[in-house]
Amino acid sequence: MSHLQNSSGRDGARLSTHQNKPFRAFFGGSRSVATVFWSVSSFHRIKILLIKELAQIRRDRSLLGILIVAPLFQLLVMGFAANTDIRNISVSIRDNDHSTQSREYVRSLASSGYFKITLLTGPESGDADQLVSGQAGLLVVIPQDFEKRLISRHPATVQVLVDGSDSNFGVNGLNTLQKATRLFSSSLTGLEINSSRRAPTVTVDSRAWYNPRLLSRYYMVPALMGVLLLVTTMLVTSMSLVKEREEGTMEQLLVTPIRPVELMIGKLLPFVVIGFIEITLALGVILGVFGVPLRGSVLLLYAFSGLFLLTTLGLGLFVSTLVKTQQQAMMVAAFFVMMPFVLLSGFIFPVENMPPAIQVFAHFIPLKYYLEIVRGLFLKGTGWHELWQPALMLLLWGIAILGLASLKFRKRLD
Amino acid sequence: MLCGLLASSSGTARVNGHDINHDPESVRQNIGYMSQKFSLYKDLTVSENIAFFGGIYGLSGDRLRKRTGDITAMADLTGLGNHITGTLSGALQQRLALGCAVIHEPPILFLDEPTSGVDPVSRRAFWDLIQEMAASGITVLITTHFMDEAEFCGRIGFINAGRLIALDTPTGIKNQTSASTLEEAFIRLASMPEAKLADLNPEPRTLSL
Repeated sequence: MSHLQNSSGRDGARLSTHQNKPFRAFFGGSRSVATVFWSVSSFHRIKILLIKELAQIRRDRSLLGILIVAPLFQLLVMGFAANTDIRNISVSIRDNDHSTQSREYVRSLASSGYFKITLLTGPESGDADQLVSGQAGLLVVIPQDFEKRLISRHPATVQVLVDGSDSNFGVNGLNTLQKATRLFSSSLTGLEINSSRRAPTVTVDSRAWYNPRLLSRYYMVPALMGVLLLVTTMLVTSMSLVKEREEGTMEQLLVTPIRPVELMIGKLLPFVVIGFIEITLALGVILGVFGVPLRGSVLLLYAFSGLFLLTTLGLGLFVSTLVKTQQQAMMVAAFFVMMPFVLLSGFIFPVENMPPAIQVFAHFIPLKYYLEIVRGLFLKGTGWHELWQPALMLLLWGIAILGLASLKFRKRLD
Repeated sequence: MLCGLLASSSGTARVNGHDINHDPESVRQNIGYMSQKFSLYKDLTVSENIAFFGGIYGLSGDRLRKRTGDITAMADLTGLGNHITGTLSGALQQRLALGCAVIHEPPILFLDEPTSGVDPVSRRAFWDLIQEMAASGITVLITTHFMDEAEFCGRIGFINAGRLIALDTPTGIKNQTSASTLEEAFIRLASMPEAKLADLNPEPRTLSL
């Protein structure tokens, strides 16, 4: 009987507090008195926690290296390396004609500035090896009747073999060669070739806005900042939280009056500050070293970067709730967050080129929205009017992941 | 569970009068806790650790200064304030951990296998420290599997396979089982059939601190 009474009493109590239980469980303080004192002692505890975090960060030289030096160094190196512009294409030419015109053609290719030309001599059978060994990206064969056909006003054909194993290079190399060849054939006025058949055609007079010289660096370097920000802030946040668990200090913290929400603020805030320091330094490199113009507002860049930091720190917190050790945190972060984010966010491959199913997936990647924002701000000078949508997506993503992570975090602690 | 690290599945418990399910905050302010891992920040200095735990418990100004002095003296750490905690010997780290656990002068102190992995001399010194604390009026609750250590305690609860099988003074338990040592008493109690256990301890599930 007494057992029955006891249990029904407990259920009754549970029912009455059921409504606000999750809120209370998270923020603590069920009584009004506790609510009044919440702010003062909470701020004090957060302050103490921040002092401790700063002391740890300052003492950990390798962490400072990971957070500040490595990202800047990588930005510098990768900024120069992430260059998809085609220059110095190795072209091997087999001239079977040995005529004035064929030599003129070779000279015009050389003077375009895009090609590094090797003239092939000796037996023809070894020509294909040029492509196999990688000595040449393009192999041009000029036929014996090259000059004869040109003089007799027939179109002459040169054979071009392309190393297609790098498709980007192949397409670009071929395009450049075609352009140079067109230039050559239009310069053949002295011979007045084709003049009778050349009808007026539609010509395209193109001009690339925002990036007139179509430098891939302009496109890649601001985006690199986003990737580096993701990698450093997410990884370091999750590692710092997992470290507390690994070393048992988390357990020690949990028996103190500190609340989970205070613990989270105290752990995340230092990395918000570090994130903004990173952005500032990266901005210096992007503008100063790479000369990428920042046409939009600096203020908006910082504001939207703040939104992006919400998502990366939320992810860091989330990863920390999934794993037990710092190594596991690193693995989960690398394989389940960084790889798909970098490959599917449009950092390298445009999202528009992906199959529809994968595009859907890409729309759930916050880095995609941040890249839209930085590329727009730097090159196009877009403003709030064009960027509020990706910004809103970042905000929603940030709130969702932080909410989910803090619930999981809280649960893990219980 | 009593420290608020685990949620209880059923039943109620009070620590120093505060319900662990309804008022865990007050429970935490009233207890000190130290686990076998001596969970200190090894990359912080001794004074930084003390200042951190003191601050988290809401100590500041004169009280923090006084308690810092007390703890440094108690843990034999005078003059070592600027040393990185991780470079101290195991015994010193253990004493510092104990100091940090009692910095807010809690009425109740939980020690979870505090002496595992410590040499016999330091272990004896550590127990002297615990005895001092107990004498000053702090309730100290220790879990251990060393029966010779249990001998030092005022009251012992034996837990076997998740059940409290005995709760009495060391002498009381030995008399109950007519054993000469606690180790023997534990073995006898653990192998005792259910009915006989209930006979010895009519109400084994109430434990008040």
